[in-house]
Amino acid sequence: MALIQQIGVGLAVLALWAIGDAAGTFNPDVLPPLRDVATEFVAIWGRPPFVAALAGTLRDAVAGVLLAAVLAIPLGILIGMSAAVERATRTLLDFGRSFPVVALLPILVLVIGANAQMKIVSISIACFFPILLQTIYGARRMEPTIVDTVRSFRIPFRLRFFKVILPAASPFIATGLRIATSVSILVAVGTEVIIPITGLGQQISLARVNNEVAVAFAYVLYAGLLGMILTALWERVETRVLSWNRRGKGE
Amino acid sequence: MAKTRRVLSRRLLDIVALWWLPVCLFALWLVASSGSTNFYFPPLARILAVLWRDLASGSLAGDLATSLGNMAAGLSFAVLFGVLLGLPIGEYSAVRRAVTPTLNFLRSVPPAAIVPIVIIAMGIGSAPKIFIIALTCFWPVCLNTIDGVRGVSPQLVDTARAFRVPRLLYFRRVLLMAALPQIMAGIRIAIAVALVLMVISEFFGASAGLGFYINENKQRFAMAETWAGTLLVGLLGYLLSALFLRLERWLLAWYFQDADASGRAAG
Amino acid sequence: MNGPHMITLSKAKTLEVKGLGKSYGTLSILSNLTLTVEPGAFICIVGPSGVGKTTLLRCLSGLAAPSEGSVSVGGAVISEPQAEIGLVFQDYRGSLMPWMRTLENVAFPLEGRGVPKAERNRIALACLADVGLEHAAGSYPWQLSGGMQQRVAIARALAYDAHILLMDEPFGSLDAQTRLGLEDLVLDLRKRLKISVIVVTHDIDEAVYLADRVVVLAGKPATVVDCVDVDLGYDRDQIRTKSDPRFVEYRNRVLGQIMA
Repeated sequence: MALIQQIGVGLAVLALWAIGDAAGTFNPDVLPPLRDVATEFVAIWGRPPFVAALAGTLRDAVAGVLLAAVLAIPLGILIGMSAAVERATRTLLDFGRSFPVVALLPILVLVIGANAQMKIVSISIACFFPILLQTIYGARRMEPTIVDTVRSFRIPFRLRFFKVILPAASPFIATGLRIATSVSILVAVGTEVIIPITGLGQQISLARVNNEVAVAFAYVLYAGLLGMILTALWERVETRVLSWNRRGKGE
Repeated sequence: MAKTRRVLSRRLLDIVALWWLPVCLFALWLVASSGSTNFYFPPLARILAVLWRDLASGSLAGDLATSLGNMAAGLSFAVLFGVLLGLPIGEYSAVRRAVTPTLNFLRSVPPAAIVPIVIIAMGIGSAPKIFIIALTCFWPVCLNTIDGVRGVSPQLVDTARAFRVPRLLYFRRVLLMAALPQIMAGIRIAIAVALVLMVISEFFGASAGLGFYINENKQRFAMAETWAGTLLVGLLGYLLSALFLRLERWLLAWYFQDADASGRAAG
Repeated sequence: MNGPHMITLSKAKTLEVKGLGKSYGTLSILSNLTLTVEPGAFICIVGPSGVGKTTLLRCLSGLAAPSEGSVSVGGAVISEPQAEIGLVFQDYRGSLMPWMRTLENVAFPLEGRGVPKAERNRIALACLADVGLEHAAGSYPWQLSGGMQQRVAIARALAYDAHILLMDEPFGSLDAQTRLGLEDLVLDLRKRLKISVIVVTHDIDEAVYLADRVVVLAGKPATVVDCVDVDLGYDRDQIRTKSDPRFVEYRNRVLGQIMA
């Protein structure tokens, strides 16, 4: 029953779109006719740049997340293990977290160049902070009884790191990775829109410049689908891998 | 008297504990870069000087005002519509279930993706920027409002029903207030999103604004100015976030106190 | 069934439950429940844990519609919350609005009725005085103790001008001493304001102490298995009444029904 309603809502949106087209209420430059977009949505697979663009965005986004994770997770645990360190770094991290990475793009382009590496660097900078902050939060949020147990048994550093804190922080790390995944797509497309690097954003920009608004729109839809699928996939992984921790949804 | 002095010195210690590392790093940067001849990394002192110069006598202050103005306008629309739509969607679960997949799809669209479409169609003035910001910031506000409404304690809902509180009053004085903590979190996210979109859209096409300033200077290879603009954006991001947190604490004093009290009571 | 001491001049209407049944899907919680609450009577509903006391209360208050049978107030069948019925929940923390001060909270039902501000604040203050909390009018709920918050909730039901007070395990979350104080408060309110009171509780001592009649629920689905008339007079006292041999008798009778 609910599924029918959900499909109904989607269809209603499409219907409104079609009606608006017929009535001429929409600016075709901003919202092209449904018919055209629908055509392009399918036809786009035949265009050579499409798959390359899709792959470009996806590949660089994933690379960015992985790079960020490799740096942020260990650092996050280390910072989280010491209250003093956490306090000292808090302001810096607040600053970094609220810094819009896109503002760095001009400098990054000048220093690294307008290429995939620059894109990956900017994506990983953007993903670094959510992962780091969630990891720190997870590392700090230890059950008091576990903290006391570990201290009273004088557990050495390495063991503490790998067998106590890392597992305990893993639900939060997972949350951070999920956030980072969606951020990575956003930053990837954002970068591609401004700077001509292979990816969906670039295609949107190109298509629009060439006045192929419907094509641009189709690309936008695919970008949305990509984000949705990745997030859904990630949630599936999260529930399976973290089935032992039902309290893990603490955000 | 001794007590206030103790409280003050404790506050001072808190501030020092939080700020010593950033300040030291900043000083380090200042010193280490002072003799820099690297084109891409000018001395920090020079960046700061340029920043000051352009703010005081150049166009930067105007650019800043333009950007902030666009952001504020876009955010206002986003918050207004986000809350107005979010409250009923959150409250009527049948509506919410039906609408959720569509909402999820629409919000997954990377905001930057619509920038080329809107700006080429609508030009490089303020209106397209406001439109973009309003459209993209709508989502965190709306979705958080929906979540906030869903999280309202069932007792409050029952209470309002049992006392036959009329619909409009219920929405305004019960639902909105109860969801407010979550709504504020959504607005906080929206502010960050607005900043990003402001930069992107100004990079893409603009005639004024902070992003425009950075881009212009980058084209001219004026490194110090480019860095200055970038730093200013970073500073803006931090200040907006910090100020908003302050606002949240003030507006939601009852929420934090209440949570404190129940935390204490619970154990 | 006639109550032992009917208060004349009570504004309250009679609450009648006839053959009430309530099911959720195939799960039948209540069945064939019949009970009458005369104006000014004090009824306590007891039963083993999970028997469906809260479900019954929700039906009585109009928050839930019966699956079978009817609930009527003053002869008119009800299916939604009524103006005459005031509800006090067990979880006072969840039902007082934390962003409103005490006075605003108490006045809120009147705000819902469109009563102008000065008037509703006056009434709210009077009701707060009724429960002894006029000095707390400007405080926020989290600044008050549990017992005080519950008194605010009671004041709110009074401000609503409820003639029938429905209370769902109102003192369960409070410590013993506070509980005793509130029990006496509610008895006093009933006497002074001549309202009907229905209290759902799992505490049998409390039930016998407060009530003119104790209604015992049991069974799956739950139904009324006994009605115990408590003939201990209007003026009850924590020490004297509870050491009265008749108190013990009533109590044992009720306890026997529940444990059976």
